[in-house]
Amino acid sequence: MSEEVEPILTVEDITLTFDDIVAVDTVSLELPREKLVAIIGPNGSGKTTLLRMMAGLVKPDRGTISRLDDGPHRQNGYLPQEPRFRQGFTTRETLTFYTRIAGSDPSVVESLLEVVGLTQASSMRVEELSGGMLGLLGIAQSLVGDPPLTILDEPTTGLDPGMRRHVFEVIDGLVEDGRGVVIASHDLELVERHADVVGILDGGRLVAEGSPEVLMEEYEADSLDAVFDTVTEIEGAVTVRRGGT
Amino acid sequence: MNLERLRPALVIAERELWTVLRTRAYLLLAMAFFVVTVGLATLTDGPTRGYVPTELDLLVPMELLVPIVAIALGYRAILGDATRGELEMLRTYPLTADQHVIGSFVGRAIVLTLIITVSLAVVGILVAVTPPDVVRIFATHETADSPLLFVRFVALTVLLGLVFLAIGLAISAIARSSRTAIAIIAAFLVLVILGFEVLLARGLAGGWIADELLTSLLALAPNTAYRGLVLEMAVGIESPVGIRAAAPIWSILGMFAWLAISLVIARFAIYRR
Repeated sequence: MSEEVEPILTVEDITLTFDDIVAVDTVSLELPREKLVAIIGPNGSGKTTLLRMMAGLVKPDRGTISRLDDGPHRQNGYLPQEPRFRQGFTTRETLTFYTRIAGSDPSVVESLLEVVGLTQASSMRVEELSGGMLGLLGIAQSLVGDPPLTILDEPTTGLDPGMRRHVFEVIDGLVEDGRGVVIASHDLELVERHADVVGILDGGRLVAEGSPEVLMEEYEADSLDAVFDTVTEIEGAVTVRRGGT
Repeated sequence: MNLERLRPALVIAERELWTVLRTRAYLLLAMAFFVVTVGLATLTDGPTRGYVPTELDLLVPMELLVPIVAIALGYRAILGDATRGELEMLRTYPLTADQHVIGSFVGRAIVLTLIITVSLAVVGILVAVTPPDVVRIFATHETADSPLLFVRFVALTVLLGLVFLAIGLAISAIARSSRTAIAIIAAFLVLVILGFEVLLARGLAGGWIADELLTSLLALAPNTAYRGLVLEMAVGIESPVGIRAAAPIWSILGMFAWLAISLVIARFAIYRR
């Protein structure tokens, strides 16, 4: 008999509208521990809005978001798209600042730098870091305070293939350490290889959900890329018909 | 007092302090303020005439320069974090809007206070060490000029700076981009600060503002309140017919109201993005 593990975060029928445009439409999702959940979808499909709601940055108009632990400590880490940091500070100083804000022991900074592979760059000023290194610093920041859930919005955008793989390897390590990780990504090949659960968002609606293997089987596709094309094509057609054009 | 609640605000304040100290543009701004302040005092021969004449020479320049320096120090504090995405990261930490705003204000206020006090302290030292030019002194009496009056002038100038720093911080929390922030600052300075002066002048000239109301009305805008307070408390204007430059209590309350309201606006705007 398999043991049911309670999800870290449960999203139930959430909807958010901006000026008559439905950004997220009755989405329900569970984010478990030790799993990588990837949200994929076309540009403007509502991925960032959904992640921001999960991170507690925006409140849904309708629906509920409940957390397993609602204590005063950091509930979830969050990395926005293409993060930048205040200039004039080194990588180590930047992480130390976030550690102190979280009330954590600053000695964890060294281990966080090691986790993301930035130990060598610890004395570099943030304005000297490459885009990939900034992303890794952002991931390290999202781990400060040891939150059970880490939310990363397109952490590989603008990175070269080697750095993208490295970012996903770092994410794998976080999942192995027992965290729940949710990412938005356009890197379908890497998502197929690394994600435990994939949610496809289109027009604000969660139109498909499951492990990459299950989705490929269900849509008789040989890759997640093909699943994505099929699902968004069908849903796009549905949206067009609904719109009456 | 719960010190644990203060900790995140102090961490933010420390970061703001280091940001300003490490940013070349802010250091240039501080140096420019120093050079202009000391230069003006020297060029007008203020130090040879005493503390009060120096205050009078510096009153208008301070009214113009201090708001510029203060707003320049404050308007990017929160906006910069927002445009980089750091504000969203910080919102996932156990950091309240109160702690964030207070920390940002305190950190930058320390630097602003240093910029103003160091510049004016040098002017004060110049006055103290410069021999008086007796030929050019038309009339004086011993009690009218004292370092204490100059200390009051410095304190009031710092208060003016803190008020405009808080206003800059509020604009920083409201604006979505640097361009919007600059537009808000320009609109504020023209409509509220300059507009109020024009309104007072027209009101007095047109007779629809009574003379006896003027001192109280001066308390409504920070720069007019500052001017009145300096003339009343640091220059010590005495009029045989009882005309006063300001209602000190109302002016001080007015300045603190601007400071507090600006910080409250920043507090409510900071996480509404």
